Amino acid sequence: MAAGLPRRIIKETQRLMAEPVPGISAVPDESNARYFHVVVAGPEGSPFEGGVFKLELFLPEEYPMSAPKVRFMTKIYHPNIDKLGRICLDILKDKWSPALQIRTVLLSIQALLSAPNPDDPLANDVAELWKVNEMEAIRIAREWTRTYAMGN
Amino acid sequence: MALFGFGSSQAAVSNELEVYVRTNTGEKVSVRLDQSWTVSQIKTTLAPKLQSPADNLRIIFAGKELPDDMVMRQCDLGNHSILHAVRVVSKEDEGKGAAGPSEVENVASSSNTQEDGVGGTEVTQTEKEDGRLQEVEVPSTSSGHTDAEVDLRSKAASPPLPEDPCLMPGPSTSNRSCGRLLCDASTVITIQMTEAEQKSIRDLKSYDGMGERPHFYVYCVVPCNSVQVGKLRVRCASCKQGALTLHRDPCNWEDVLQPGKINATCETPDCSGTQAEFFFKCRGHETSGEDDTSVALYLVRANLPAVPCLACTDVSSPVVVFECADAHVMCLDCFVTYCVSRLNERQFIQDERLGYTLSCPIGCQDSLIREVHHFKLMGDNNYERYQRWGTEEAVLAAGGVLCPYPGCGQGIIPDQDCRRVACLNGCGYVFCRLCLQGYHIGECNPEDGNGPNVIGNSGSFAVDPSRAAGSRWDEATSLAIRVTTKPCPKCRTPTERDGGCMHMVCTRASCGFHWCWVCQTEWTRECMAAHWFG
Ligand SMILES: [Zn+2]
Ligand SMILES: [Zn+2]
Ligand SMILES: [Zn+2]
Ligand SMILES: [Zn+2]
Ligand SMILES: [Zn+2]
Ligand SMILES: [Zn+2]
Ligand SMILES: [Zn+2]
Ligand SMILES: [Zn+2]
Repeated sequence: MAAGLPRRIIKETQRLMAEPVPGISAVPDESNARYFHVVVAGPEGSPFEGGVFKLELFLPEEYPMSAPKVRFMTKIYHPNIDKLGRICLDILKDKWSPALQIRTVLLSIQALLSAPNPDDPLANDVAELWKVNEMEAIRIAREWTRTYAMGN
Repeated sequence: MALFGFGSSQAAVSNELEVYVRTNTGEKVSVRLDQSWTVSQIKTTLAPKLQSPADNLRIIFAGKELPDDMVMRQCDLGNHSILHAVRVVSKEDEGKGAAGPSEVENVASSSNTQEDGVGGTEVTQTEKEDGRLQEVEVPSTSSGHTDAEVDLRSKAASPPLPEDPCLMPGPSTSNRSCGRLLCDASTVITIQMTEAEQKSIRDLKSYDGMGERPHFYVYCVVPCNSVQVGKLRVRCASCKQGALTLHRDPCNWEDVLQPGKINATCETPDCSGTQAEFFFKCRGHETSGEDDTSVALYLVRANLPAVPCLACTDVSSPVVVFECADAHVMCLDCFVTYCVSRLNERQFIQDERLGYTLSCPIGCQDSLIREVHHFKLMGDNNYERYQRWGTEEAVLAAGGVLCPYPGCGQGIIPDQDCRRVACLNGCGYVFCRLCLQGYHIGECNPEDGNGPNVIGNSGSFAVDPSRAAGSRWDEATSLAIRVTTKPCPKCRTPTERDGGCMHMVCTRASCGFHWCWVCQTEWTRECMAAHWFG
């Protein structure tokens, strides 16, 4: 399977295993080295604290010229993440550059959990509530974290 | 006498060569030699012609004295190249035996010979090419060429050739203790030597230094059709002849690429040319004449400092070094991938001055590629596409439209106030300028969707938008993340959707149209209300 896998992906994978990003684990799939099973711990002090969020990350054929595809598998109440788990993050879109890495992406996602950005929404209704009634939005986010991201 | 003349490296299948030998006293004799000869054999042949014992002759080529046991083939001489012979005064003759090893002998001070007639021609680079003698003469300093000769001699004995300190990236060998004139001369020489030449000189000086040497790189369109090591050449800008004296050396790409940067004195009789003109030739093939020049790929450089590629992190050479302040480095393979992927997304930038081009992949300021031949690296098909799309961008910039018919894309500059556009020089499709659907009477009806839809980059198959929408959920929830594309309603560039948002922004840099994935028309408030995401 690893045949034809670019050296860069191999190197990045090795480094991710050797020096994991704190609070994040990213493990390549046994059958597809371009597909990573990612687990992100909800950052302390955020409504996602205590939660364990599963994501999938896929390195497309053109990686690193094009960005990795990342998606939350665990349901999450967040203004920049939609119902299907897709993430609104500039470096996954137009701000992507081949000098960025899987590690950078994961760190940015972690940062997004710590600091939601309701002004650049993907999930419109969530963003709306986040702006109008942040307390309530945070309460729902906590509840979702308890319901979907804890205990399994 | 820093003289070099080498023909194309692949030339000279025959072992016989006719070369000219010029002496420091101004004589010029021609010699037939066999490439298998050693330098020592040449000296023996020359001795009677120059009326000088073979032991008293030194052969200089490419600024270096050639050792007796060196075989001519190693020099990569071309037919009609010029070697330089220097007569030295033997110790017995001079009676200064205490002077020690022959290196100390001062060629120029052996001036009981009448070398003054030679003028400033000692530091000469010479090339015989296309049956024409080409010379570059670096002028003597006012103190006379004597010093230059002395310096040359001492340099010939010193091991490393200096890298060109001003043109090449990487650590410069700074120890330039010799005179200015000489350094300049050897600078020009070094950058023109082939790897083989440099290696042979390194070997003969048993110098085990830095390994790779800097090169110029060119894109050779015909016949190589690839990146090749290039040779920098210079000629008179007026008469195009090679015999001219440069007033200073080129020290950067501007000097070489912009005309009129370097003044020179043309030595061709009846020419009063005052400017040097630089050009490049491909080292990969035998030259077919004086018009056989190549385009310098000034971003491509030997990776002497071993900088890893920003994309694949491998260290290779040569590399592309972008012009941004950080001088970001990319290997050639990644550069090609980068260009092709940007081309596929039509993400090239239409710059008023530079045309259709790209910046450094990090997006640094002032890093647009100025020489479009760099895009030749993408290969013929992609380059053709690049040229076509570049033309289209120019059409759009001029207020034109592109034919929306799948696979056509003909650039059309229609009448300002006519909504009906016919693709006359292309496919013949007749369409509405406003909605780019088939031409219709009355208001545009975006919901209609009866136009020529193109999905994806490759084929052209029409997709019912509602059906595409219906299949999204399954796609999104399948294990692998799959993406779908739809054409930008304005310019038909396939645009990939990989987020949940229906708000699309055309990826084509110069379009940037905001549109709705569901409606395939301009993004509106209604779209937000009805189906912002899903
Ligand atoms: Zn060539
Ligand atoms: Zn001239
Ligand atoms: Zn690379
Ligand atoms: Zn840059
Ligand atoms: Zn057409
Ligand atoms: Zn219309
Ligand atoms: Zn567009
Ligand atoms: Zn819409």
